[in-house]
Amino acid sequence: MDRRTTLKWVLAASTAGPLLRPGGVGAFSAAKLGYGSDPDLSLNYHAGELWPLTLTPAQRRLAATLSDLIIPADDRSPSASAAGVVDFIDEWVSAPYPDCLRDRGIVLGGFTWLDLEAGQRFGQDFADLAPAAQTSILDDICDAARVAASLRDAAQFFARYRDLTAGGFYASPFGRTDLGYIGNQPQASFDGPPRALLVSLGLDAQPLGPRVVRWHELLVGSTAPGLRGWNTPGFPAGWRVEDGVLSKEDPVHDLVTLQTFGNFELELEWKIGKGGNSGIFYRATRAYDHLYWSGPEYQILDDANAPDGRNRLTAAASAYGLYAAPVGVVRPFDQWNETRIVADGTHVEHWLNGRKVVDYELKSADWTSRVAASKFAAYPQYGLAKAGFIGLQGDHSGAVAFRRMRIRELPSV
Amino acid sequence: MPFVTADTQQSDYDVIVVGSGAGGGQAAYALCMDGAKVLMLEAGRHYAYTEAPMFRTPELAPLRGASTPGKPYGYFDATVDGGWSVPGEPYVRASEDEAGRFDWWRARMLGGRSNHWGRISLRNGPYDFKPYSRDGLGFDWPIGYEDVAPYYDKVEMLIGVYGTNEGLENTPNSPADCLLPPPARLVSDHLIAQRAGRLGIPAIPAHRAVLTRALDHERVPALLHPGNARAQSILAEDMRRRTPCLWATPCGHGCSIRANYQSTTVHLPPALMTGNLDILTDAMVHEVTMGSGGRANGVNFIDRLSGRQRHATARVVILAASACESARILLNSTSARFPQGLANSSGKVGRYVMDTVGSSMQGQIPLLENLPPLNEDGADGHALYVPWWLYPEQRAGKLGFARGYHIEFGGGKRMPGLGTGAGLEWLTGGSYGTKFKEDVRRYYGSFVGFDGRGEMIPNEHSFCEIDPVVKDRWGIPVLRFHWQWSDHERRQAAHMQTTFAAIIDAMGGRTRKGIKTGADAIATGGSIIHEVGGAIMGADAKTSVTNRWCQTWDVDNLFIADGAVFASNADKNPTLTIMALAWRAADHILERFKRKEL
Repeated sequence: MDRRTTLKWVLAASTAGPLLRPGGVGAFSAAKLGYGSDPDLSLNYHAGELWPLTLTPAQRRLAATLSDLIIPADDRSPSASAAGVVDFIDEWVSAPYPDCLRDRGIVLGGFTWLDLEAGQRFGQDFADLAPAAQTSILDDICDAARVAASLRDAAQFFARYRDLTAGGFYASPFGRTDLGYIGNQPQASFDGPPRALLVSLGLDAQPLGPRVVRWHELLVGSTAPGLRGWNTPGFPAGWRVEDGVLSKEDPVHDLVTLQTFGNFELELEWKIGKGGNSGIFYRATRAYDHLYWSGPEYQILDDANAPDGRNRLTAAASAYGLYAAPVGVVRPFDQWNETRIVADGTHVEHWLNGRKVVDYELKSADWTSRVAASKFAAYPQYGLAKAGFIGLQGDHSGAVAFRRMRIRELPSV
Repeated sequence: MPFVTADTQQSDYDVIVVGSGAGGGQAAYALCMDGAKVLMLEAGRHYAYTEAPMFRTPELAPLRGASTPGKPYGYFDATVDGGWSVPGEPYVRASEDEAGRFDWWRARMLGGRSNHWGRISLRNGPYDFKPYSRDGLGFDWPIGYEDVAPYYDKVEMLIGVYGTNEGLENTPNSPADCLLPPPARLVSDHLIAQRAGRLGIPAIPAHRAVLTRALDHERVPALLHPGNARAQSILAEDMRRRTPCLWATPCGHGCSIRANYQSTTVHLPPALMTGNLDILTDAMVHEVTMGSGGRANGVNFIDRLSGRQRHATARVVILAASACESARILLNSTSARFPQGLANSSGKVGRYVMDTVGSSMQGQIPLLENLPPLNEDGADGHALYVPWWLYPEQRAGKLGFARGYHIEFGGGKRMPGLGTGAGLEWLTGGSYGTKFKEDVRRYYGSFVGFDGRGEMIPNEHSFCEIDPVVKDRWGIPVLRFHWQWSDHERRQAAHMQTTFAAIIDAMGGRTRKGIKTGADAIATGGSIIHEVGGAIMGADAKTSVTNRWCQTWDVDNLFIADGAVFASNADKNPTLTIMALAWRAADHILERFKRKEL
């Protein structure tokens, strides 16, 4: 069979089988085709389970050779055949669907042509050729736009086979990893691309835009926009801001945000000096003379050396005096810790170094009984405000530093 | 007992609702919340939103999740027993000519097509209800924007729609606190907005029925059901059970956390909680039956499980089976008194079927190549869209077509699939091997797609009728479709093409095939799945099928609560309007019940 005859056969085969046009005139067959129109979407299917695979061992060997010439292994991902592409192609060309029946003709015809061509040029089957010989054939058919007229059908075969190989590979975990796809994971929020990326693309200033809830940076360079003294008019002495790091050594006045926050998400990093004690208050009001009489406190502590560290209820990341934080999450003094606080309605979460360490409900029966048994029982407004200041405790002993402090409002529920 | 069978159904329903999609779901919800007893009949099987294969990935599916005739939008699409063909339920095209082709999308499942749709929720504007008065083409609706606006408000608050109020022409604002915040934009959204903006084409936040945050269950129920404490408490409880978007998975898979609107995630759960709703699935309604005094008394349906014909009775019948399926039921409801079908004294049942004008183009944008890994799943697309922006030019007669279109667009590093590395020769010169892998990485995420969605003007040549020969597997005569675009639609599609090309050019991009012209530029009729018309509402019984309340002129207790009543098909996607009209019709029925008129 010469090449021309082969390709005629390829073309004939490609038009065989029923051509189902969507919504075709007249009756669409009621017979169940393939997996039908209501398959069980919860099952994991494997090639060959729904219809038998039909490629011969020799055809599968050729399929693997060709797929791996198209998608070889490299330092990012394995080859196509290692990603299961041969099974996929066998499944595809064996399926009863119109597109698949058309491709079956194209692929099997192409396989035959490849071996004939390899035999004519090198006296061997394609899969047995040295790589250089294989690519010498593929180089002649890899681009339909500049292929010789006599090889046009072979080029169409190769284009289709490359598409199938790519489809089988990229629609797999290996392909997703190769392309750096990081979605399909539940997210607590969706913030869009990093601002720095948009700036680099010249896309920073937008005249029209969605009013998304934005993060507010609380420490920028040598300034602390949005922070002030709790009971001093300006920024109290003793606090320093340098390169985005807010720090103090000795007891100083507390800081609070200019704005109040109800439902919010706060992120920051902190570092405490040896034996030091500080804290983050939230939803604090001016009902009393001290922030901690109204606002719950995320404790900041050198657990190992400060007296409060002996009790988990008052240790680092605890909801001070009410809810204990587990041991072993906080880092030693003088090391940075990552903190996240989420307050959403009555729901509060304390996070430390990537772990949720405290999770409680304000105004719940449990919370109410714990408050009643604590020193806060004397302050009836404690923890009840729907919104209030974020406060940073400065009036306790020891050095403390904060950086990467940002906050955003959550929608009120 | 909410789910009944042909044998356990009751005999004293206030209302039968045929169909469980956006229109039927909304009508049943409104009726049940106000105490009416409703039997809902659905032709397809029961479907639970918990079936949604949200996070499932293509390698777990046959053929890597490819589109097949049984699953035209891919294996994991929510549609059950549907698509362009439904097994055993054919339809007929009157012409073999491609230009006269109409494709009909159906779904046979609880919730119908609302499980699959794009969740784009745009209000018709004031112009859109009075098109004839503006340009002398098509028909005016017998109602105006002010009639429907309160129901748009209510539907948006009930289902949850994200978007913003931009105050643009014929693009209505919603009341304060009605819309949810829109999602963040992808890199491609930023770029398109910037470059389209330079051409004077505005890109603004899209409106979609996806919860970007929890609904306000303390505030909204009292606004939707004033004076109805039970309805308020049921709705508040159900709103608490809906979870905001988790910023992953395609909405088309369905939503088991109920973050997006489907009839099955929003309308049916609270309606069932009232105890007033019975649902009968696998019930293929084919005929409205008539009792004494020219009043409908129920429907005949095929119980698909037994294959037997059964009957259901009620004081009022609402058809919400989808525009053409509702027309089919009317046309098949023949009797000595109604030889040309029920509610068809005007001869207009089946007439003026409309779809949306569709045209699309994809561009490759070098600026978007080789971006770092980004999670761009977002709310599954459509953070922004372009509303029709050329009202003044159109009014001045400068465009050569009478009605507008909007542009939906998208890009980003979405989950790789079967098409990710396919068809790249025009960019790669036919590479294979290591170079091919590098090329795919380079181009992944660098494509943007534009879809125009334009208004079609109803015409005399686009309609459905009963085929004299072909019957479906149940023996029910099927529809035969006639279809014809006018120059208005063709020119509009051509305008879309030049606009897309201009935006892609302004982005420094390139297209593979360039501008499509002629018949290639316009998508096949029906393929946008915005089928409306077929029983249009009007001010005159001689030229329309229903009045302003979706009540048929001929049969006092027969209503239509789907897209069939649309007297025009604005570029705005129809689902939100279907729901607003269905709620309005339900309120009217409840009012008439109170006055003992029905």
